[in-house]
Amino acid sequence: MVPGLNELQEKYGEQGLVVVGVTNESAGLVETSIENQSQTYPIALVRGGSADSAYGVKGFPTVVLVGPDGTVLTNKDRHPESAIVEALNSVVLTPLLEGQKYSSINKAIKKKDLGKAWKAASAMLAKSPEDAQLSGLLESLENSFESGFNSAVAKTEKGAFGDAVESMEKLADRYKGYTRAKEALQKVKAIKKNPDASDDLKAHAMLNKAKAEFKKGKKANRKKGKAICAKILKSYPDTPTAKKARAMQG
Amino acid sequence: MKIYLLGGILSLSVLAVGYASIPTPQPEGISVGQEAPDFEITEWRNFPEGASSLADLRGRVVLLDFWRTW
Repeated sequence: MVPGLNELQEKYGEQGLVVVGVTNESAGLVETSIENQSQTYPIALVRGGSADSAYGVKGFPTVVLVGPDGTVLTNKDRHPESAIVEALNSVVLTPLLEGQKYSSINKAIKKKDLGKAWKAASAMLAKSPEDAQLSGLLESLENSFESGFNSAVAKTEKGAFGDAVESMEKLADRYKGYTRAKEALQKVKAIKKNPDASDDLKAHAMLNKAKAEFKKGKKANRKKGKAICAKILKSYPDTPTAKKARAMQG
Repeated sequence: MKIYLLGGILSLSVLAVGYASIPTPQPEGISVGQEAPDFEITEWRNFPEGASSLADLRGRVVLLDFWRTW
């Protein structure tokens, strides 16, 4: 197991994969294990059993792949390399620029204020058109917007209007200041006007409420969350959001 | 000698097949497509940049491996 995980981290780390070994054991035990088994991938120490129980872990090792949007991609596969490769396609890594003069751009990138970074980089590039770091950054920002935009459009086409609106709004927020950010907001407007979208949008708003309940984590909240999910299934059974509600009910 | 060698090859191939096909114990609390539950991380090893919870790793692909040293 260890060599496989080391290898995955080494092979895909630069493209945006983080292998995380999760254990609630003591730091001392973990360090001994790292010495004996030569784990080089990141190890996360957690307290108690809440992480295990949140994931319903029934044995070790249990492997779960999480996508860049925070959703579970696989939970059956011990070595899900093909799923990793596929998920990495939607990761956008914006490299920081090297040099003191880029500090404000780097700051914006770190804050994920990508529209601001784009604006600052374009202004700087106008003054020094030969700067390859700047043109490289602009290209990667523009590509990442494009891929985010296209994936949200694809969601619309599948009828997942609620998801599409959420992605478009996030995109518009992250890229505020970039010339195309408005296109995302226009899409949001168009979806909201579309009568076919109305059921999924309502269901999606309810699902967000259910998620908020689940997040609070107490038993009573989980019960409330599940009740909301049941309502979604009853009122909007044919929407893509209903599928998610069913999954959340567990 | 030959028998030993054959035994070695057999057990090796069993290991190799085993590695690829032993399914991981399936977690029963989550399903594909749902939001991955967040959890706090108190300390890291092999990860200098750190992160206080799983949610801090948003934007990247995360392979969670629930394991124990035993």
